[in-house]
Amino acid sequence: MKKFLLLGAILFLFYLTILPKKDRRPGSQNPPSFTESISQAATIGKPVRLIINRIGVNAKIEHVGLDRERNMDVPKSWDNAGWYSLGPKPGMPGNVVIDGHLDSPNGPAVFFRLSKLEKGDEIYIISEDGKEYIYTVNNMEKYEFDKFPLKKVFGETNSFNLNLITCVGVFDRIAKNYSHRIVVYSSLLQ
Amino acid sequence: MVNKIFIAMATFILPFVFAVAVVYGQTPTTDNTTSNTTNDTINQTTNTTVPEGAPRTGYGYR
Repeated sequence: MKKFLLLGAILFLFYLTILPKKDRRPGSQNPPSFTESISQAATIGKPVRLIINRIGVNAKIEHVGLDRERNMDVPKSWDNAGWYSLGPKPGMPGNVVIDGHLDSPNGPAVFFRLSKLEKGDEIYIISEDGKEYIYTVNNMEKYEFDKFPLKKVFGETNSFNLNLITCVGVFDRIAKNYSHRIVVYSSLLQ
Repeated sequence: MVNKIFIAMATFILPFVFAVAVVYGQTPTTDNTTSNTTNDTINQTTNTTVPEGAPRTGYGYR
């Protein structure tokens, strides 16, 4: 009897070694590999148009980076919005940032009525591959120019956010700058 | 004689059944590894550069 038990134990260990190992990690049926994730990010198109029906915005999107002072740059046209291309694209996790002028030499510019947005308003972004991303407004904050929360607005996060920026407050004719900025915070709906 | 045959069969078959149960029957203890890895991977692709200041988005017309 002992011989059978010993033989059974040896066979048990032998079977353990020869059985093919099953990948038991959760989600291992379809986990995106590193290269798949990279290619997914690469295939998301850059934004080309911004539509906010609530305030009558239907604007072309320029791609902007940093200006000479390493501030976020602004679109060349008063009527266009500027997507911060050193951050994530719409549809990706992170803080997608778009700015736009409040006014121009001729009057109101693209984000003149940005402060009129309310919670729940929808923001549409069309990418170059024709995909549509819908964000909904969560809240709006007003900051002094020198106390702008750069990490909050631009920093990395796992959430799918879109932050819209424009000027408000008092215009300093010498510094040629408004005293405050407003940020409309929104999150991806679809 | 019959008993010996049963014992012999059990000796070969039961270890196999137990081995299969051990290899394929374990339940996962955590699901953090995969999701964190995925998020980290996606984050690496964003690689955000934080500017040093807010944009100058006004002309002063208003």
